[in-house]
Amino acid sequence: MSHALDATAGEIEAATVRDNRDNYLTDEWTVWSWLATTDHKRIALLYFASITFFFFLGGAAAALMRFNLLTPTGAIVSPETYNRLFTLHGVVMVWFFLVPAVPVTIGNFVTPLMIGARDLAFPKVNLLSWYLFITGGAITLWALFMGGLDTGWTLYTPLSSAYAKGYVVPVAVGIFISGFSSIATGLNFIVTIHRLRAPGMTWYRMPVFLWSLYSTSVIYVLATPVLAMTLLLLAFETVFRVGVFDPALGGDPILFQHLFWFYSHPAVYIMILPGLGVVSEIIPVFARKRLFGYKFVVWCSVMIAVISFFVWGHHMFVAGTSIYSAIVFSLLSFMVAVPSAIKVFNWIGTLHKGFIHFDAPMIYALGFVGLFTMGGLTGLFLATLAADVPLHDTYFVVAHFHYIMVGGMVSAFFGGLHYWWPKITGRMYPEMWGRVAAAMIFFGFNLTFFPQFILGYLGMPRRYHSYPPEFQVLNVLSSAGSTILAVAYLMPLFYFAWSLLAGARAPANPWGATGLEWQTPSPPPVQNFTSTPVVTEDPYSYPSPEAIQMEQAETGEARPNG
Amino acid sequence: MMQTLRPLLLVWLALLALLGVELGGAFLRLGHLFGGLLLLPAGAMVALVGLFFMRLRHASGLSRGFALAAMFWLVVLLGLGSMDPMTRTLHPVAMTTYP
Ligand code: HEM
Ligand SMILES: [Cu+2]
Repeated sequence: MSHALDATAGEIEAATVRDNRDNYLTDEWTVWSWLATTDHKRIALLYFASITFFFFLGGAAAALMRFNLLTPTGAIVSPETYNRLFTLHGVVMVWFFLVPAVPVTIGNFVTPLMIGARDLAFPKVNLLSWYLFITGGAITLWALFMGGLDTGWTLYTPLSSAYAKGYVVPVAVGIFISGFSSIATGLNFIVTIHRLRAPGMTWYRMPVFLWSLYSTSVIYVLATPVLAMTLLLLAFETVFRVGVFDPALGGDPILFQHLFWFYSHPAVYIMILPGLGVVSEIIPVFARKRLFGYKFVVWCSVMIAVISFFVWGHHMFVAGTSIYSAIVFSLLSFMVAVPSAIKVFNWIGTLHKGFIHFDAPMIYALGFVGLFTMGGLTGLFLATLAADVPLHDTYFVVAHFHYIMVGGMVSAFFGGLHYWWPKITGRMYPEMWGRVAAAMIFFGFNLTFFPQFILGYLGMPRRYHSYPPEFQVLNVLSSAGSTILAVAYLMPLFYFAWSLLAGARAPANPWGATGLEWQTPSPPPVQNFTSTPVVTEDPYSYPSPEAIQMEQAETGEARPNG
Repeated sequence: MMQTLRPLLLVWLALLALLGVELGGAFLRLGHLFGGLLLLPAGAMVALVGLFFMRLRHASGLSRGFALAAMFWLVVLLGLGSMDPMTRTLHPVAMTTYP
């Protein structure tokens, strides 16, 4: 039965590959048709271009920092320049790469396709959010380069107020504006998911990726305003000398940290939840299995989003906050790890007895599972009050969050990019190069960041331009890893460019995946679907391992679906 | 046009009046005990914005749910957030003194 269906689907596919000249890429050619587009697919590409720029800019700053740390006295830059470099790196990577990364690119592209809609609920708001994003980005970059901020991405007072050097207020304004872009995006996804699902697409039939985007969007909408207010208060105090954070004026310096982390801890989950979603899409496809425990996975996304609002105090354990509140925040922080751990078990359950294909997206996904687990578990070390006293503000913290944000989220971003690349561009990427880059990223990443756990444990503080000589070996290892990482991150830039020009034409469904986005041609037509699809199945309805084994016994084939 | 604008204009004037009350109240030096009273005009402003500007009176259950969620998160921010300043022992929060 399924064979007969496959055959016709295959024929249709072959036909569409030949005739697919009419798609969203070829629809119109003018520059204006891109800059004024309201097509979610084109806006996704505008975002791809912008965040790729920010990623490599932030990466360049990181490379300079690692280069500098080759020698104990600081190899190339002055301490002042070093401070500006890590501020540039943090601000760009957090606000202009990781916070938007997956939702505005992959999310923008696939959400309407996944639920069987023609576009997001508010196409113009979608375009507006891109303009807000690049405006905020431009202002911030201008301020960072002209003023040279040295506060780190966290902008703590009084370093950003009484002792401010550089352009604090313009940077705050840039971040403020890009925050509206986040809110617009979140609102758009929430309304789209509520209102535009195709007939038959019930909540529990939605791909997990959409659940995680939904949870992320809730954080965008509810947390970002608090950041906006915090930045406004900071600007207000600086300009009008009203006492908010400055004790000399009757303010409380830790209040800034409370408000900042009330946004920024949930925001670290903005920076991981979409990645959890991407990985939950990739693993079932390349294990040829139904996702294990679908309902647990989706409700864990929601739980993570909710609990993430209750833990922010764990960033201020040694800042002089009350010990009673620290105990409560420590306990709550342990709780947020529970749904994260459940997800890891679900992925492993999905892999168990699966027919695993090691294509590039899967290598990224598997790397993600391991690195995310390491990052999450070390988070528990830091959430332990007594352990955080020596570990706070050391390289241990740096390693912790890079395992999650770079090892986890950036891997998920690259994995998702490879996975949906054929759908987005209509071309296949060179698989061998994809695998090599994925493996190199995993190796380079661990070489860069694992030594930092040890450095932190030995007591090397973060954000310093020089260090005692006994730390040199581990620092050199870390810098060596970062060169491998840099090369590995640059590789996709080249083979993706090659693929655009000379890659094989992609069929509608190159991976044999379920999901509506694979039922329309690659690249999709402007309207996404020729007729509104009707959903009759649960997601990830891959045959059971037993059925595949029986089929193999019949046909003598070694691997199902090539 | 005028019919729809009038109520909005009135609500806006009410908001400005409440803002005046709030601002004036700040100069009254109500002390720690009665300072909390200043939350009343603020609460009234929230209610006006919610009911009239956000039209929650006629909104669907879902929209009201989202509005309630926002209020809930505000309670979390203020509730969990004030736990620290209220119980700090090492360096107590500087309380505003009234000279
Ligand atoms: C398993 C759940 C997690 C727990 C229990 C946890 C715990 C912590 C704690 C206690 C700190 C403060 C350490 C210190 O400054 O002394 C911290 C820092 C940090 N965490 Fe996590 N974390 C978790 C997950 C995450 C995730 C998912 C991300 C990002 C996607 C993340 C990103 C960060 C960042 C960026 C910092 C450092 C911020 C800074 O000071 O610049 N964490 N974490
Ligand atoms: Cu946190």
